[in-house]
Amino acid sequence: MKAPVLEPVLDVRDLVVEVGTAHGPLVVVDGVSLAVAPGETLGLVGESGSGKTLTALAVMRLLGSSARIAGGQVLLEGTDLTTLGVKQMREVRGGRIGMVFQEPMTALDPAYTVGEQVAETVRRHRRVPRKQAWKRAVELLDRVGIPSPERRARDYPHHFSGGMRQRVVIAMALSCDPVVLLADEPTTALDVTVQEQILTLLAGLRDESGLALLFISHDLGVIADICDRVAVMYAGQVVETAPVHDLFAAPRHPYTDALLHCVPGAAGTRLATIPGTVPAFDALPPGCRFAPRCAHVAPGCDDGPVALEIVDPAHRARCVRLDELAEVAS
Amino acid sequence: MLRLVATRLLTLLLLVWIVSIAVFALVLLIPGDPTSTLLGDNATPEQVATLRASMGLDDPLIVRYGDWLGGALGGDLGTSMLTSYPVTQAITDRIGITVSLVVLSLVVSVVVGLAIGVLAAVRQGGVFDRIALLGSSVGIAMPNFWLGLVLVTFLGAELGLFPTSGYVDLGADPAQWAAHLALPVVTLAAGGAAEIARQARASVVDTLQLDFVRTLHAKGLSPLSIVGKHALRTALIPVITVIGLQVSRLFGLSVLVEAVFALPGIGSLMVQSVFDRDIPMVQGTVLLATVVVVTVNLLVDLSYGWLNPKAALTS
Repeated sequence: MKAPVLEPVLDVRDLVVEVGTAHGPLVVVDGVSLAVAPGETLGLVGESGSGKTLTALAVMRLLGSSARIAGGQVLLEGTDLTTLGVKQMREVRGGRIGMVFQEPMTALDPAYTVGEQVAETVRRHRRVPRKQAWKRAVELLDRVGIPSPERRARDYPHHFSGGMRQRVVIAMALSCDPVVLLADEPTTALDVTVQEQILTLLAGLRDESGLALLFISHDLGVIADICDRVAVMYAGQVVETAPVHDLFAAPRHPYTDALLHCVPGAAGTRLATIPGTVPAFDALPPGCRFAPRCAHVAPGCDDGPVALEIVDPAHRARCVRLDELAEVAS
Repeated sequence: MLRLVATRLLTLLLLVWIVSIAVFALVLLIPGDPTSTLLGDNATPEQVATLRASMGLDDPLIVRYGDWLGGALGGDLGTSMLTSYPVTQAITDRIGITVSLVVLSLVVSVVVGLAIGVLAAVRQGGVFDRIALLGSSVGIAMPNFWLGLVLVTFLGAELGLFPTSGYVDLGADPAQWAAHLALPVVTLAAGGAAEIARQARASVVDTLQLDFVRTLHAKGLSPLSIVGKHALRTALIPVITVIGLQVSRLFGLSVLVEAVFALPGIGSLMVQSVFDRDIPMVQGTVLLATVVVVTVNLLVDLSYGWLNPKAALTS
């Protein structure tokens, strides 16, 4: 696995996202920090509602009207995206940062051909003539592995399977050579065999162009497949971050550990589950947010907010009993 | 696509043919005899019999229908029973007025309705949205003839801004043509604009919540392009249905509006013919109205294919 030696191209610092509710704003992404270097893949893993997608949407500033960035910085090549004007932000979207979504079946406009949808992005950011944009769209469709792209570019989304549509979305996201690609569960909605193809494609494109990939998934198998480093999110916080090998070999946060045990094992073995449910954001525990479900919970866990502690230079975990539990494990 | 058009055209012809039978048959059900209208109450039975024979009223039904349909196909819808004026000629004399009225009203209601609807959807929940909602409710609830009378009374009679009745040919004096049609068009377009605005608002609001809109944002497109080029095209599908219905509705209501503003169009011709029991005239105008309505429906159906490529494939 590659070590992150390069300067991060995307550097999210202490990101806070609030959602407006009838009872006032609710913090749903709480002080998340992430950094991705060119050519590197950072996996963002967690259960539904842990804030993974909101983090990615906050980077794109596409949170919609109900949520807003309430604090922190999103540095793209040193520029803080949270301070950019609306117009400048539109240049970033699809230009410097591409995004791939979970549902390829509904991510494309049904009324336009896929070629037009890719070419439109090219025209938007490159200001090139129609013919040239179309040519580039066909090249891109070819690059993401769509057979006979010349002909297929004239087809509408409903002529494509889910996997092929996801390739189109990827082509669109990469059409203007972004430096960062946000992939929000890009394989979740696809068949297992197609998943593998899409992962291979993404990894190949990343290595070809050296883009920084933020890969969001709840599937640890997929994360292990493609990521260099992993950040585990729980209830709006990053609870552990480590190189992928370290995280799988020696998880330091009980939640990560529990998650790893939830992966199906050999046939006949019982699938492990984590007892309890993710706490609601308006009823978070005072201390460690995982404490109510944790197998290692101790009296000190509820005392107050827990900081992300350094395990080693590349590994951090948010656990009060970090050292005690390490001794137990060894 | 070509096969689709061919199938729809065939269906259309079949429909028009069925309607032609209905139109022909319906007139037989109208009480009274046209000869009594022509000859008055004091006619002798001999006079009636002679007239009936000369008008072909004694022929078997099928022969009468065949004669009428044959003529209609050749553009000859017979002659008026009262004035012996050719029906086709009477229609062509007046159709310009009705077409001007309906087409202008349609254009106004579509343009105004879409603009209000889309703007309200984009500013959902805002002040404009609320005003538009209120305005469109009023527009739908308000009877057309009443609005027409109000406009005639205030803008026409009181303030003298517009002529209150009559018609001037477009070719004769375009300014006068527009002035004479202004109030009728507003009267006729108000309800349609309100209806279209409501449908467009609801449809655009729904479309803007679809997943693909987020993709468009992620591409860096401007809101104008997202709404105008992408969302509107999907959102238009149900709106087109409403617009199609408006065409038929406008034709129907033009009868009233022509009466209020004393416009000598098809609508007033139709009403007068019914009162006069002028059967060929009624048949001709009703057949014309039918052809217009089914043609509009065909155009609406075909537009779905353009708006939604998936529909073009499956239908």
